[in-house]
Amino acid sequence: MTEAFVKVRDLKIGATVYPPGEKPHDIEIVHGVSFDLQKGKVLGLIGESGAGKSTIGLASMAYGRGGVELTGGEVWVNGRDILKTSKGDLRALRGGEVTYVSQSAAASFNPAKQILEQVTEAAIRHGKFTKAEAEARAIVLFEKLGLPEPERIGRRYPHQVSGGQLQRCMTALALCPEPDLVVFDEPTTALDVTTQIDVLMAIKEAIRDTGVAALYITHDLAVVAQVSDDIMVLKMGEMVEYGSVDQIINAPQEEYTRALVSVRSIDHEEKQPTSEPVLICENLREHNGALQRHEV
Amino acid sequence: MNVEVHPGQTLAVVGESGSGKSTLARVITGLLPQREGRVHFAGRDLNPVMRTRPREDLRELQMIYQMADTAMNPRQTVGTIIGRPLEFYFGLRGAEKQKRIQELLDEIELGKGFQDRYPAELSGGQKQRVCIARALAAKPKLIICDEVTSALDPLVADGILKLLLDLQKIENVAYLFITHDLATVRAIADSIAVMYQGEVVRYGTKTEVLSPPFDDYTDLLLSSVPEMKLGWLEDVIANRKMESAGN
Amino acid sequence: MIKNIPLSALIGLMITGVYFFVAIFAGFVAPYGMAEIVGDVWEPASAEHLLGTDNIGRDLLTRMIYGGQTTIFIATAGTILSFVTGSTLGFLAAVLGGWADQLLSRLVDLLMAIPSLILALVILAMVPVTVPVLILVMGLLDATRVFRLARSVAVDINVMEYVEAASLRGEGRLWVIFREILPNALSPLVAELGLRFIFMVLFISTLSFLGLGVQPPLADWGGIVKENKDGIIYGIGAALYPAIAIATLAISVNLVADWVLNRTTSLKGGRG
Repeated sequence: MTEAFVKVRDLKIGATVYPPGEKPHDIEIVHGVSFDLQKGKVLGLIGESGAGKSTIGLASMAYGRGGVELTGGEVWVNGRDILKTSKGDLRALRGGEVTYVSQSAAASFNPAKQILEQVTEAAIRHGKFTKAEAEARAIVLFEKLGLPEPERIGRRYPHQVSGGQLQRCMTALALCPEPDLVVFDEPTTALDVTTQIDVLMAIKEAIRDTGVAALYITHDLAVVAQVSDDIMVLKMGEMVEYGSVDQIINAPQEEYTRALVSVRSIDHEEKQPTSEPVLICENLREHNGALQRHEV
Repeated sequence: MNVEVHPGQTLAVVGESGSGKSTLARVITGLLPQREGRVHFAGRDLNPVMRTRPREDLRELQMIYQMADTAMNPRQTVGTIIGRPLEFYFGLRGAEKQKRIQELLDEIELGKGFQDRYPAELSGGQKQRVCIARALAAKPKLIICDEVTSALDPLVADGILKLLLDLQKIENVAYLFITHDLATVRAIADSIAVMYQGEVVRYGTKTEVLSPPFDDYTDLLLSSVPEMKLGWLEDVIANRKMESAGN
Repeated sequence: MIKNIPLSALIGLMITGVYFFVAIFAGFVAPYGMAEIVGDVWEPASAEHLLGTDNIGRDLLTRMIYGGQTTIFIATAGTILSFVTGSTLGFLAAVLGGWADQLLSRLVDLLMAIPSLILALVILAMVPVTVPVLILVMGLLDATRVFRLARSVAVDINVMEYVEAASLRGEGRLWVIFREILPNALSPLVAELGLRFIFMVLFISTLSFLGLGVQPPLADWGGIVKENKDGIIYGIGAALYPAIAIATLAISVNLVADWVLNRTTSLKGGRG
């Protein structure tokens, strides 16, 4: 059994809350979570909002967003407890060994710079590659991720490509410095379902080809089932269930997990149309050509 | 476009971004006047401009929004938010109004004590329930639900959908349910309109729309919805490669 | 609740409170009459005259108290006027949009293009300078700044869905302004209120110093500076007292305004 590349033991995370009209106080938002992650494997973190999945994802870079503090436990990445490393070393870690793909590529890219420049920036800054090497690697990644015109797309600006393409560029950005761990934070949540498929496949293949370890965070169990090897179900900062993707999807043990697996299976008897409709839209056409007429 | 909604039933309008489904809601409510065509509601034509519509027209057609946070005035209590339509449309005051507010709160499964809360103190699901109560207070014939579950967690969204279905049975209200999520559509629709780039590409009862043979876009849409089973992604990609190789 | 007030705001509240109290009850607090000549010119501070006397022998403390009353009264009245006018027009412009908005905004732009001090001086040179006129001129000129702020705040709120929901209900425009927009626009406006007040104090003091503000024998702080400025050459510090008074009042009001802004934005998900 190979040594796990990422080992999280009893991670505790706290935050300061400021309820209106009361004194601010500290609470614990993640209560002792543990997991292992091998290289080349994907661990899906699933839960609803407030479950702590993003917080845990960021904690694997020893980062706490907005006043959140990592108060206990250990996070071992590549043989080193990053909760105990110095700030300087952490800066080398982030963007170099551990990278992050956020939910909104549009918000993360600088609209004033070309894509290629941004994708290669971290790799060059961390001294992993020269500029030429990084650019070549970026182009290879663009091709792997299924982007059109991989040689030329890097010269475009973020607003000139579509949402799905930009999300893939963000993935390329995360993979360019040959990291050891990539944290994907809801990467397809903001995309249309038809675009999502291509991006999911691209991410899955990229992970397999580059052999990185990956954390995939989402609230959509069906999505995470497609890309993960293992899944951890989180609720209110605690682990509810942790197992292989096969076990979680096909044989969920906990009630909460079962609820998530059977989501949207509401039974609804379809009613037949009556004679007198309450609303009829006839020949609607709006001024910029939307809503055109269609024969039914 | 030509679509119809029948009393006490749900028409789901499905589309992705840019499909025009939100524009449809704005045209029906009169916020965006249409260039051609008309909207016929409960036996009469609706004025294209909202400001010129009589109060009864406005009352019978209500709307619930996607983001419950911005759909409610943060400085008003739940009681005020639900109470205003009661005052405005029915002239209810005092004890009568309070009683009705409590009834509505019961219907949306929020108990006593919620009347004095502010929106910021509520959870996402609770906020959306209050918005539903606000719409119901007007005793409408039709409620336009504009992506009302899209911003909610899946389990919370389920709760809201069940609530909407229950309320539909009790109050016999029709829904025009706008969404991009096919799973939601399957759960609550009686009839479906699929929109793509401003056009209705498929329209009919739920069974009709969801049974083959499909047009290209509906096919693409239906096959893109992730299913809760392993290996689905690979299957879909393989199928598509086969189809394009076959063409 | 008293415990939750930060120290800076408490100090600000106390000092502002003292100033306003003295201003309101000037007649009871002042040791001498406002225009009463009680001693020699520029006497130093003594037991009978805590701040000494001014350039024609009036008790300086008394002049300061009555001066405070005048300055604070004019500043308050001017602020109220500028606020009511500016906010109402600002909200109307935001809600009505279209040509009404264009008309008002361009008018305001025009007025703001001319430095307010120059404009005020020109106007005051042409009309009789009485207290009501001063309040009117200062208030209206300052209303332009409040208009800009109120309009931008209202425009932001106007696009919120709860405003649309109210319009869809059939609520009239006035309802939307007063019941939907105004409560949410209050916190940035209230903070601005404090700042405008300070500006008014400075404005009226400047006008009086230049001779086109409050006319003697009525006292106000700017006027007192003007009257006593010649004494500085002789080492008489009489002109400094009103300056210190203006400065401390400005700082105190500022501290209170900061505190109010912090309090109201954290409550009930308010704006800010």
